[in-house]
Amino acid sequence: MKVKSNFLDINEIEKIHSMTLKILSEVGVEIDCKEIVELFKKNGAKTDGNKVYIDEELFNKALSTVPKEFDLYGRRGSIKIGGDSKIIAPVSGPIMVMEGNKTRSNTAEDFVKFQKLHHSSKVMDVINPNLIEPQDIDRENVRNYQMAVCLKYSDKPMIGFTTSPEASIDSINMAQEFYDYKDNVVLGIISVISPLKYDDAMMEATQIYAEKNQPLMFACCSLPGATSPTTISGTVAVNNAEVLAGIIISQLLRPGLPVLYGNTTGSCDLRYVSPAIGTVETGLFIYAAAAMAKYYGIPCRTGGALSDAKGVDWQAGIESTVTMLPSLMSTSNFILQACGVMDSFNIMSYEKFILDEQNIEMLLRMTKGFDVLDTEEEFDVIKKVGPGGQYLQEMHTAMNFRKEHYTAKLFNKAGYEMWANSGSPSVLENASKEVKKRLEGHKNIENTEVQEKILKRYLDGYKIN
Amino acid sequence: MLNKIYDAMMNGDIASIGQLTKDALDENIVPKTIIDDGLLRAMNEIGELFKNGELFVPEVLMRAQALNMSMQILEPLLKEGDIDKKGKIVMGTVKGDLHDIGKNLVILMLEGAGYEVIDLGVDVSEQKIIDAVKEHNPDFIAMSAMLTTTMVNMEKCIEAIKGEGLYDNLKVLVGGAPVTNTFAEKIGAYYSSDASSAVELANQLIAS
Repeated sequence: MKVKSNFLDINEIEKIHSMTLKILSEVGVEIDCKEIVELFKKNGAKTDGNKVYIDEELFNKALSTVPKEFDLYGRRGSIKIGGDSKIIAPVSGPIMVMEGNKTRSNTAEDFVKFQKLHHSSKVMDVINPNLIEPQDIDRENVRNYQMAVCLKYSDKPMIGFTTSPEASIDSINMAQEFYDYKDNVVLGIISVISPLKYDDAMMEATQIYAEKNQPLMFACCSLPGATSPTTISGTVAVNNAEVLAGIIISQLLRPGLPVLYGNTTGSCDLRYVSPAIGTVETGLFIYAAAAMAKYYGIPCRTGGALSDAKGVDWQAGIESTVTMLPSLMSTSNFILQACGVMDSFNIMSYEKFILDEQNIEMLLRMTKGFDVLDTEEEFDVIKKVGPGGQYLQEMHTAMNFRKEHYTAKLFNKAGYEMWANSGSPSVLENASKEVKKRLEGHKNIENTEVQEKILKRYLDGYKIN
Repeated sequence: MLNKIYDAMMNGDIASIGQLTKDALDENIVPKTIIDDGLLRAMNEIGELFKNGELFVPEVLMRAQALNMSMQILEPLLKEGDIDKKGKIVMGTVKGDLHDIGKNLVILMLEGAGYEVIDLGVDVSEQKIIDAVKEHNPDFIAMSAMLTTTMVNMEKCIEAIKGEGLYDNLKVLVGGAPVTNTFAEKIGAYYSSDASSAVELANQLIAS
């Protein structure tokens, strides 16, 4: 028994596919970058100013070179992205942090602490210099600072910067020099401007990453009713068209460049016209994105523990679960924004980070399902205990219960009296305690002399511990 | 060798604990040393791990089974006065209640901590407890109840003990899912919420 599925049937997928081809060939995609428009012309596409039209032939030709899976390298080897992999990846972008119940502007100290937490995380597979924006580091050096801190505190594979040409080049160069390895050392994230548009900055980053043979993720984040149709299927079709347009660009630039098909579209709250990311419709978009990506044979990125909540509360828990579960159920290959994010991508919470980790472990246990063992061992213990007996003292129980049953240690499971006697801790307090324990337990990674020199170059003068 | 026994206990290694105990005896280590520095040293540690939520009930039970296997070999070899019991406890699940899992776990922990426990089983009547107290002269009576409908029998038991004039010579410990500190205080008993805190409570009371 496994909880794993493709939630759209082939007729639904083909209808979305047809609509996508119609959008790309008749509506077109606006690209604010002369070089890329020229590239389309060279490949026989119809263009009109900065608008390009992609017909079925070019569509099929460009997508035929996309790798079904690829490796992302880190200091201690690589991780596979694609196939059955479910890579759990960090949050990207918040400018505020929350500690306990208090929210504040985030700092370099927060950035370091969070990288340590990501490094010690059992569920987190990659690290991300875009994680949060330390507000107390000078803007000129902040990107290199973020990269160097990541390399200092973790040996997991990394996401790179795409925020400016300099940041793109610097992040690729630093990782290549640090690892002494060239290909697939950082993953770049390219954002669509929904609907159906790419700006110059993102296209510059795309060209840099393609030239340096680094993988790219193309991802949209439209607001249904505002920047994409309000109907779910309409948004799925527009999202599919705009993301595939980006992937087509990558393949025209460098056939065979590893890419991810990304989607983080949620809802739009039309009372405030603001993003509402922690919604049940976000889950529906995830099912659709995962199904479409599989149809084209492209590794897929969705998801996250997405929430609009302003505190680590009921709303945060429910919203994170209804957005994380669809990604895990539909085997999305790369799940960005997995731990800690709330307030529609604006706040990163220490405690939510820890609780999201546990939530992911719980949901992974659930989606893993169970094996029908049919072993003699099971019958033997059933016979030994017999009617009216109990299984507690059986070896079979002691040997198997941890494998079969997940214990959510941050939740309060003891009886009321026992819980009250231990100081009536809230789940938030349990999480705070765990944050402290994890940070205290951090051990620095050993570096080579060359690596130490690289870190010194970027971190000298900053208070780091 | 004692460390090997300690490790086997910590790992719940019931396959090798018997042989290790025999090997220790072959090396002329006296039974009391094997018990104190091998078995009970581990059992104390196990109690601590259970209290901190690192070991779960089935794992503690497996380790207790290892303890029993070793004790079966050692007990016939013990001399009078080899083991100083910390105290004597008469224990049972109260009348009308057939639940013994919690009670048995508490007994294991108490025995592991050096108490002598007389287990009266389940569905134990007031009279049976009174008889046992008269026979064994214990430091404690420990009662367990799993049901709200049977926990009232704890109070009846205490009244019966008082009626016999036995209450002042001992202390009453109670526990079980529906039991609370408030309830225990009301009926004139001491409450602990789980097996490892039962040991702590007994230790505190015996010292006072």
